[in-house]
Amino acid sequence: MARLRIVNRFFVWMATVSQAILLGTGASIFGFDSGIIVVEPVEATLSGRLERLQLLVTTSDDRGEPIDRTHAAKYASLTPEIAIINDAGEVVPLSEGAARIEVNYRDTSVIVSVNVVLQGELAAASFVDHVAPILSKSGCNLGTCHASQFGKGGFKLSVFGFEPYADHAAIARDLSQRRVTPLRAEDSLILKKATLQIGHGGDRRFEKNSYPYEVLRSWIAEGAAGPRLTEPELTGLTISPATRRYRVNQQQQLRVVAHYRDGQTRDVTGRSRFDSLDDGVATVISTGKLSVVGRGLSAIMVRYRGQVGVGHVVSPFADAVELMDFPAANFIDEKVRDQWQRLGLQPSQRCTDAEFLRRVFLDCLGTLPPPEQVRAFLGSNAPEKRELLVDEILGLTGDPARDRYITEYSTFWTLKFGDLLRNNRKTTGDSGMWALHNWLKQSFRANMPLDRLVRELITAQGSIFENGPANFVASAPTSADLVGVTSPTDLAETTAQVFLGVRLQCARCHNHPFEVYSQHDYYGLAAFFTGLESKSSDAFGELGFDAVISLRPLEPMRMPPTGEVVPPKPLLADRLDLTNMTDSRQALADWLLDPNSRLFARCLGNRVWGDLMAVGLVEPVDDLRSTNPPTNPELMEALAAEFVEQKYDLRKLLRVILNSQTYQRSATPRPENVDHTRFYTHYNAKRLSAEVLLDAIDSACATHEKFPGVPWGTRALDLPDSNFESYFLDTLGRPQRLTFCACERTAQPNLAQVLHLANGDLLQRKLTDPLGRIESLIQRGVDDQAAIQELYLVTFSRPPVDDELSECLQIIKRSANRRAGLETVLWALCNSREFLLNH
Amino acid sequence: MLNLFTSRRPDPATSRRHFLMQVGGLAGLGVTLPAMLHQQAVHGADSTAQDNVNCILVWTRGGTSHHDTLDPKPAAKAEIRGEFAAIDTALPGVQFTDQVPLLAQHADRFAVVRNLNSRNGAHGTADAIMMSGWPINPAATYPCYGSVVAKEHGERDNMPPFIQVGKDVDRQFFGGTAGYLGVGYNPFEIHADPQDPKFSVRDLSLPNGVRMQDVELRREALKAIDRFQRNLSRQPAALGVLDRHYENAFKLVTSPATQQAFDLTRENDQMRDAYGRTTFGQSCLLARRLIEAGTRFVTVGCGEGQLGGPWDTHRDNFNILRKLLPPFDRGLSTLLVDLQQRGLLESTLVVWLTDFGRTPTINQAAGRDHWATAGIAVFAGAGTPAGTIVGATDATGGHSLGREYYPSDIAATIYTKLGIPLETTHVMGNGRPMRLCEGSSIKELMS
Repeated sequence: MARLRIVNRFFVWMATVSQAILLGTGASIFGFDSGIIVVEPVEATLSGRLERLQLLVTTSDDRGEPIDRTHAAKYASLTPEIAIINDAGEVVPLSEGAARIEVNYRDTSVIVSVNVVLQGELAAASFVDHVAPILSKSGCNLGTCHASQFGKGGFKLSVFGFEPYADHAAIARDLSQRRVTPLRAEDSLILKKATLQIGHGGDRRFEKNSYPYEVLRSWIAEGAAGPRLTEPELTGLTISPATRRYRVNQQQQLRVVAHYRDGQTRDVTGRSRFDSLDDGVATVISTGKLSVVGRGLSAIMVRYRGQVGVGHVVSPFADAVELMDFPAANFIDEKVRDQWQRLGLQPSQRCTDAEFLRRVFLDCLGTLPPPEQVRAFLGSNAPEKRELLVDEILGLTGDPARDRYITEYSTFWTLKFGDLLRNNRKTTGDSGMWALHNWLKQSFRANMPLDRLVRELITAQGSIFENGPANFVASAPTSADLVGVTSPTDLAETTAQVFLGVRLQCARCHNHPFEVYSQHDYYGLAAFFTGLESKSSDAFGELGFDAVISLRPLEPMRMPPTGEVVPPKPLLADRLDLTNMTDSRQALADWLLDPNSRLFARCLGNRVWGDLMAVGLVEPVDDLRSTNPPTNPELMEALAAEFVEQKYDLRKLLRVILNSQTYQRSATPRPENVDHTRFYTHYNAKRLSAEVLLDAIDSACATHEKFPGVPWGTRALDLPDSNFESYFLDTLGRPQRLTFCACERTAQPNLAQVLHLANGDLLQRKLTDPLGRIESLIQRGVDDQAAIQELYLVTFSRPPVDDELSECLQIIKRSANRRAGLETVLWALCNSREFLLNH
Repeated sequence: MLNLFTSRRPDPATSRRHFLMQVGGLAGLGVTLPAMLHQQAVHGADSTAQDNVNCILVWTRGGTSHHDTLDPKPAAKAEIRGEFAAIDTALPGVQFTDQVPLLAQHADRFAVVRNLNSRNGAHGTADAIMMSGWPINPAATYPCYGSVVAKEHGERDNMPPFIQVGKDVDRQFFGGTAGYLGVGYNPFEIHADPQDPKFSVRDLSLPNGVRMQDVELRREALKAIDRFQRNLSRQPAALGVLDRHYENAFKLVTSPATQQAFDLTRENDQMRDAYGRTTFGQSCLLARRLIEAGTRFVTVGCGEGQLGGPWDTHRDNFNILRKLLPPFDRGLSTLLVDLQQRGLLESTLVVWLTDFGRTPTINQAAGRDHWATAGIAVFAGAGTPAGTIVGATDATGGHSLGREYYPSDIAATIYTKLGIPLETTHVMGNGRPMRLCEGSSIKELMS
């Protein structure tokens, strides 16, 4: 194996999320009447006048849960000439020596020892460690301020300070060094602007004599030095507390410790930037003190020098819930129930058999259940009938006679993957598009494990006409007869987003602002794909527009704007050993599909879960990063583990979700859960996607939409790409397959869609089709009551209740004639929410 | 008599000749007009920067040659000058080519930007860049002006707030769409040809065999059937907007006022002739009707659905333009005159944009190729000082002399005139805050 050592730094929250309280090394614990008092840390070193130390004081409340007392405790320095401490528990160094700080809460006191060192290189003001973070914290280098495309007011900084050399030049060199005045630092333009002593379009960023002011002033006074050549590399942040349950109105001081490659750590709370990911639940101020203002889940995102971390906030909706009557069918239910318990949520009822049937058909096959299947299923008394149905739909019965939906299944999942892989004849020509389409369909029919499917795509070579996956690496013809190789950067972005769920595009131009990905990561991933070339089929003596993708030695990957050569390297991992590898992409696939790191498994588990449940554990489903944590990390991990355990078998992954009681909740939320979509207390209804809806209308109306260039009877779901003209499909949100973003397919309604459904000629044509449902009902001499029964079965997949029946009879009676009446009923059924939604 | 400042509709009895005289014969009065127009512009400025200012954006897809329209170089050598002669306009010392005589006559009604650097030389990206004011960003699709207006100002009088007439906006890079604002703010598109005698807007008129009373019954039937699924309405995320769209759709279909907005046969022949009996002319007329009915932003695509757009004159530039320019000239100038007559120009910004300029030097195929560093844009109404020429290009029309403007400045100008603060920030799905615009409004175009 070509893998050296894989350091998995994805999803760092996993390690800490379940811990109730994080104790720093050397934390002090004392007995206390309402529990214990914990002070963190009790020993520390401050190297330099600009360093600060944030203390945390924690006790427990009446329920035994930890509660922050940092802002209630009393502090005193026993050595005020060496270091002082303010009311917020922040230690400020003054001179060298061993400081002693006394922390008092109620009747308990704790002594904290702080060693102050003011000599040496580390003690000086650092551009990278002090100045740049302060600019980020003060909001100066946001994309909407000085880091915008052209800067602001002639002063341009990089986004969150990712280019320290350019930023240093902008501050200390540009405009004839007018922005800094080392001899009288307090007169520096940058300080006067930021403190609004003179006009500043960006208003006041900080007060005179505040900590940010002091950092900038000291740095200027010391000569405004640039980034050091030997800047210690930052490896990560620890946020305390990593996760905690709060009640509304509670507050919590956060503490941020930075870890460096050389082993040292620094308290960087005062220089970190804090942002709430959901300020309806928790808000945070610049000192890192959060306030819980609502109920639910949130996290505080912490950024320091290109590193990010989060502190999770759990604010339960109710103190306690009774979930005894929720039977867990499998691990999914256990993890979900744990979360409901944590958050104090009650789930909805179990859905009815009719709802379940329709839901499973739409979610797995994209079709409505045939009426005879509805009758049989609703009429069955078998206690296991839902499980049996799931096996039948997924082709897992083991009996070929009962696995009768394989074609629908493979068609539906080919469409989904065709979207993701952007299968589009405009890119690879008709034959290439069909080759990829047919390969996908065959793969799903044969239930090819998805790790193999991904590996075949990533490492594809050969003829784009004969080998479907080769089209994944073949790209837009530059002229009619010349197919090229997809650019390495495009392949890197696609691989990251589709298979890892990581949006890497930001890092093409600048370091990712919410994540640790740098331009090096971006071009390191792209470097795996530089060993491909394309030959036209003519070179092999064949005519036609085929192209053959083949290997060549890796080309150097140059990173703009410097042209630095970046070697192949997976994201956030060590370099792989590529010696003796004929195709470096194999090493990349090994890394991606490693069952221990579960990178792909986690991404796919979230995609499939999001597909079925309408909302992913991480949302958007292809934006996995530590600052966008899953709503239920334990479930995310368990799904990934299950997927690996089942050898990347998609059908088995689907089965375990479909058989869960969580999936089988009713779509009717409990009143208190109406606004919740992310905790799965009820099934989130979703609009049928364009192709599914068109086919559903056709099956309800017993008609066939004709598409140009394919035989009569070809369903919308069967179409291999988007280049079949259909106003209905385009308007209802069929993606053009131009991007690999899951967001390109949309079910968001707009006026044009509704107009087309309600008043378009398409539905009208189908209602009045001489071979259609209404005509057939009349021809067959079906009476009104039976006709309404049938119309409900083919649209809502259930019989009407008595009231509905009588309403519909009324409608028919009031119409000009019977035919018009039946048309009106079917029109209304096709436009009703119960039809348009998968619920 | 000219009815420049009246909001009264022209008397239908007014003869065709009279109207044509106004359109075609205004240049003769040009001497006195700029002052009057300036008065009006200053007066109108009070009403700009509010949400009652609307916009018609004319988009000539493919890149209209600036040399051969509004920025001729008559003194340049033949391979730059081209085949068209320069003619005087209503503005002393300002010349256009002889292919746009009506625009020349009415040059005192609008402003021309001659120092526009599109910073882009490719189709597709052009539609995205020029209609949003942003360069292509691999991580985000910026919304176009119309979508932003739809989001910020919303709908009025049951009319879709943002309508695109014609197919001639290239969607390859999602140009002319709502981008990260979401498809709910995409334009309502009219693909039928307004010049076609059987023109009707898809899905707005009743399908064959359906009568108005059937629609009423359908509406009641839908209500009755949906009544049994009220539980589903407890999912506002999935349903809230759906219900609202159904309500709007029914209003659009059943309200005579909105139906009439799309009905060009309600215009008399004189008016239809004045705009020109061409797809573009009738599209401009339709745009005016839509604005009158309550739509806030109308994009009129001008091209004929051809690949790259018919304006993409890499070969046979002059013969193609001889066909394209006269109907364009008539449609656009009539639109300006008509809006002004109705008193609508104060509250309607008219903008003409195209992909980019074209090469100064004529190529071997008698064509002009793509040219990014010089190009034109036209602004009129909504307080735009009429008869203004902004900037100038060098002797060959290749580069701006002095300062130049960029798509971001076009965006800033449009947003400012439409009352949308440039500091407006939208948040993308992933939490990334996006500034509306980073340009500055073109000061020569502000009153």
